[in-house]
Amino acid sequence: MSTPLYDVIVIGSGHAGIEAALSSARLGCKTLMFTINIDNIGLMPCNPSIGGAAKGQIVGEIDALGGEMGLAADKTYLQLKILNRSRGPAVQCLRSQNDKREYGFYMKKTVCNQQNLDVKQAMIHSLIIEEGAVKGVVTDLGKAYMAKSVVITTGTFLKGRMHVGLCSFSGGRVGEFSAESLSDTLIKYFRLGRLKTGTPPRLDSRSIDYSKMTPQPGDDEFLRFSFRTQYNEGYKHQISCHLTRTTEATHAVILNNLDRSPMYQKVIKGVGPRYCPSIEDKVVRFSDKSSHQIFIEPEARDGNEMYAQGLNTSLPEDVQEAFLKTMPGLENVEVLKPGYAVEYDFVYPDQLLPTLETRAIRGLFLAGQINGTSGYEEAAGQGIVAGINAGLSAQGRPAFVLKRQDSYIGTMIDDLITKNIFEPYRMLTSRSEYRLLLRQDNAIFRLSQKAFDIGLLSLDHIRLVNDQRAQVDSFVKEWKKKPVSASVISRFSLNQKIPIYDFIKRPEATVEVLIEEGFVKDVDKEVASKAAVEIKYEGYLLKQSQDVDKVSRFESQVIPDYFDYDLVHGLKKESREKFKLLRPNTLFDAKKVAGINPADIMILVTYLEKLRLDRGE
Amino acid sequence: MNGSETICAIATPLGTGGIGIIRLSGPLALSIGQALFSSSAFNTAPTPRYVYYGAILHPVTRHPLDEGCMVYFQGPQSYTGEDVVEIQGHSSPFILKTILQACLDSGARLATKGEFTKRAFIHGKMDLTKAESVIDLIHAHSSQAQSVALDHLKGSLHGHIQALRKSLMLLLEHMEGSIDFPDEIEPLDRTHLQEQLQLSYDKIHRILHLQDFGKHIRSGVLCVIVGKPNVGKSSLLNQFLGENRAIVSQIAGTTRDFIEADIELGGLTFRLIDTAGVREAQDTLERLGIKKVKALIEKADVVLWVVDGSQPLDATDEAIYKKIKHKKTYWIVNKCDKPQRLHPKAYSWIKKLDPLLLSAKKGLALETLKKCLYEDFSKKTDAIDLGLLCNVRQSHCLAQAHAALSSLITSLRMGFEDAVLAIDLKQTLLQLGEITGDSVTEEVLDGVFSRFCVGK
Repeated sequence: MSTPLYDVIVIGSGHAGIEAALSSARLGCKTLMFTINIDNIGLMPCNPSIGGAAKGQIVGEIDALGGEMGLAADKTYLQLKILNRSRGPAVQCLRSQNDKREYGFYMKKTVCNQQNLDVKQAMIHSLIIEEGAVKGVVTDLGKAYMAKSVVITTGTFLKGRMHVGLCSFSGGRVGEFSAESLSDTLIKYFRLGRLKTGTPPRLDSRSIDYSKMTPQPGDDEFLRFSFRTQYNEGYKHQISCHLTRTTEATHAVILNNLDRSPMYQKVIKGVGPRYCPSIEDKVVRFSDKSSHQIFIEPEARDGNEMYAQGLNTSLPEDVQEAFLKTMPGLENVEVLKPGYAVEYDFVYPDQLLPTLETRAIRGLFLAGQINGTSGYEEAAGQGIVAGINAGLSAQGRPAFVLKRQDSYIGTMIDDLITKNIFEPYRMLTSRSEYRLLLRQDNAIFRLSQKAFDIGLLSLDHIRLVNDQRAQVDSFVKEWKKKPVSASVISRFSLNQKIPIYDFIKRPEATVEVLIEEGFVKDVDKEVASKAAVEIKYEGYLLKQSQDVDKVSRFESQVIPDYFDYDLVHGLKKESREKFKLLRPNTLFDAKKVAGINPADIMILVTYLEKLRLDRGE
Repeated sequence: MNGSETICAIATPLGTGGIGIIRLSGPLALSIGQALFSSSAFNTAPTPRYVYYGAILHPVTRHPLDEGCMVYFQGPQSYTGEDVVEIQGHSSPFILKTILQACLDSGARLATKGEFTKRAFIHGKMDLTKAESVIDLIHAHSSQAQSVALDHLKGSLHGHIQALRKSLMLLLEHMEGSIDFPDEIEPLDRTHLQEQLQLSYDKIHRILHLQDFGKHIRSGVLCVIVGKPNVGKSSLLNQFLGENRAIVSQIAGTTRDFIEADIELGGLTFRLIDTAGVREAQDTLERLGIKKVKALIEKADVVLWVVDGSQPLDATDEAIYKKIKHKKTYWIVNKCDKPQRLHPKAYSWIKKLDPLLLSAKKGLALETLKKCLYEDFSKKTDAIDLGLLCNVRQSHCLAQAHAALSSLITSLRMGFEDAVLAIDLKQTLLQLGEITGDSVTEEVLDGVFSRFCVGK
C-alpha cells in the first residue's frame, strides 16, 4: 500500500491541530490533517469565548505569527470587550463571545481551502516508529500514511471518559468517540497521567427570564484581535450576556446531593483545575460565600443554546435541573444538554523539548490538552509552535524557539517542560515575570519579524506591521516636540506649557483625553494608544528590558567542553548523568534538560564562576 | 571539592574548654574513626548516635594518643547529611592536632572554611539563613556576634522576614487574582494598600537601619589612630593592649606598617589600627603608607586623632584635621602629664570637638576613652534585637527590597495601575525570598486559589 510521503501529518482538528496544520502548510510543507469528524473542525466544546486575561495576549501572539485564531474570532464574534481597562495596559486584553457554529465553519473553510493541506476523516490507531523516529501513522482501517514529522493534538480524546452523576461512559466529548488505541502506543514511550475537566449545562433561551438578570453588553467601538482585520461595523450588532447568581437554596440542593457526585464519591480519579472548579467544589470549599456569580452567555446568533458560565458540574441531570431553578431568572429553565466532567490521559510535558518535539521519538510533536493544558488559546499557541517546528524539521531547517522573555507562548512552553504539572495548566498573566513587556498591543512588534523571516507572514503583512511601528514612533517624536494646548493647561491646571510627551506621563492623560483635546484623530486611536503606553511606562519598561538582558546574558553563558561534571559536588546523581550525556552548550540548554531543577543550575553557576576565577578571568 | 571525599577538622576552638572535638564527614568517616579507636563495640557495629568510650590510638603504631568518646551519625541523619563521626578528646591543642594528623594520614582531607555547613546545605539539611548563620557563628569575633548567629540558627531573622513576606504576599495575591480573574475578584482597595505598604516599609527600614550595628557586631568597630609623628599613637595602642606591641620610638616614622589589635569592650570587638605618622614624607615607602592611611580613615567607624599637648598645634595638625573632620572623631590631647602648651579653645578651625586629655605613657585617663567607646558603640548594640542582624548578602537583599518598596509607594501615589505596582511588589517579595530561599510565582497562585473562589 503506497501513499505519498507527507512532510507533516497532524492528528486532530481542534484549536491546536488547526494552527499546527495551517502553519506547516504555509511554510510550504505538504501537510495532511486527520480529523475524527470533518464537521467538527474548530469546535468549541466548552465556553464559545476567545481571549481574556493572558489568553488574549496569546491570541495576539498567534496572530503575530500568522495564525488563524484572531481572524476567526474577529469574524464571528457576538460580543467583544476589553477586560482590565483600569488595571494597566500590560494586562488589558480582549475577550469575545463567539458564534460557535460560525467559528467552526470559518475554520473548516480555511483549513479545507489551504494550499498544501489535505484533510481526511479517520481515527488514528497507531504510530509507525523506526529507530527512535516517527515514520508515519496507521488509521483504524489499517491504512498507513508516511510523513517526516507527526504532530499529535488529540485534546481530551485519549482514553476519554465522561461522567454525568454516577453514570460514566467512554468518549472524548459529548456524542463523540474516544481514542483508545493511540494511548496504548504512547504509553510505551511516555509517562502518562490523568486529568479532569468539566463543562456546565446548556440552557434553552426561551425558558429564561432575562428581566431578572443584569445585562452585560460588549464595548461600543471597533476592536480587533488581528492586525489583519480591516475596520468594520460588526460592533454595532452585538448580543448581550446576562448575569445572575446562585442562592442559598442552590447551595442546599448541591450539598444534599454530594453523595451522587462522581467527584465526591471518588469515581473520578483525574485532577481538575483549581481555577475552574465545579459548582459543587465552590459551594463546599467556600462555604462562607452565600452566592456565586453566574453568567448566561449565547452560543450562537440564531439559536437558543445558552452557556451557563460558572456552573460546570458533574452532578446527575435531575440535580442540575433542581439547582438551576433556584436562581433568579431560571425558575422555569429547560436544560438542553446537562453538564459533564471528562477524564482523559495526558503526556507529562517534561518529556518535550522547547520545540514541542518529544525527547523520546524524533519527529513526533505534541500540542494542546495532550500536554496537560486547558483552554483553546493555550492549545492554539502550542499548535502553532509545534506545526512550525514539525515543518522546519521536515525541511531540515533550524528550530523555532520562543523564550519566556519573548512571549506568553514561550513562558507557557517553558513552564510545561520544566515544571511539575499536576492540574490542567492555564495561562495567567501572573505566570510571566515580564508582564509589562508582553502586551497584547505589542505582540506584532515582538514576534512578526521572526514569523516573516521563516516565511509565515507575507510581505504585505509585514509591511502592515512596519507601517504601524513607524506610526507609533512618529507619534512619540511629535509629542516630544509639540507643547500641550492652552485648553489642556487650564483643564488640568498645569503650571506651564509642557510637551505632550510629558503630559502623557500623568495618570489623567488617557488616550480619550488626547482625542478630546484634538491631539489624536479617532481613526488613530489604536496606534496612539500603543505610543502612549510606551511613554507612560517608559521607566518600568526599561527596567524589565534590563531584566531580560540580564537573563539572556545569564542563559547564554557557555559551559566549556572540558567541563567535568564529576567535580561538581552536590548535583543530583540523575542530573549529573543527564548533563554528562547531553553536554549542554549553554546554561539555557542546561535548564532545558528534563528533570533539572533550579538548585542544579545554581550549583552549576557556582562552579562555572569558580572555574573562571581559577583561570584568572 | 568532590562529594566522595571525607573531610575533617577540629570543631571546637583551640585552647578553651575541657573537651575538644574533631569532626569527620564523608564516606570514610566511620572506617577512619574505627581505625583510631580501641572500643570493640564501636569498631564492630556502632549504634548511630550512641556515645562510645575508649582509647584513641594511632592507626599504625596503635600508640595511645588520648582517651575519649566517639559518636557515629549515620547519613542522612547527621549534621551534613553524610556519615559523620565525632571524636571527643581533651582540648589540648597538641593532642587535637595529633589526632587530626592521624585522621589525615588515614585518608581524610582538611575541611575548608564552612565546608561542613556547605555540605549540610547541599544535602538539604538547612535553609539558607540557617546555613549562613552557622558560617557566621564559625567566624564570630565576640560574644555578641555569637549571640546573633545563634539567634539566626533559631530562625529569628527568618521569622521576621517570613512575617513581612506573608503580609506583602496577601496583597500580591489579591492584586494578581483580581487581574487574572477580573470578573470574580474585586480590585484591591488603594487606601488599605497604602497603609499596609507603609507598615512593611517602616519595618524593613528599621531592620536595615540596624545593620550598621550589625556590621560592628560581626566585624568589630574600626578605630583608626592618626596624628603627627611622635605624638604618642603607638603608646596609646600599647596602653589599650597592656603590652608592648607597637614599637615605641623617638624617631619619627618608626611605625611604617600598621599595627592592628583587637580589644573587647562590653561584648564588642574594637579593631584598633595604629597608622604611620601622617606627614609629608619623602621616602616612597612611607608615601605608600600614607595613601593607605587615607583609605583607612574613610573606612573607619571612629578616628582617634592624637595630638601632643605639650606643644601648640601647627599646620600639619591642621592638615590632618582637614582630612578627618567629616568622620566621627575623638580628639585626644596626649602627654597631659607634661606642661601644657595647647589651649583647645584657641583653634577656631576645630569644630564641635571636645578634647580628651590623657597620658598614654602613664595610662592616665585611659578609662575615659574606653568609656567613650563603650557609650558610643557597645551600649547601643545592647538595646537592639540581635536576631534582626543580617550578613552582607542578606543585608544587600534587604536594601533591594527596601528600594523596590519605596518605588512601589511612589508609583502608588502617582496613580499607576495594579499591573505596574505588582512589578515592584513582586520584586520586594523576590528579594525577601532571597533571604529565606523561597520563590514567588507558585506561592502567589496557591494563595489566589485557596483564598478566592475563582473559576467559571
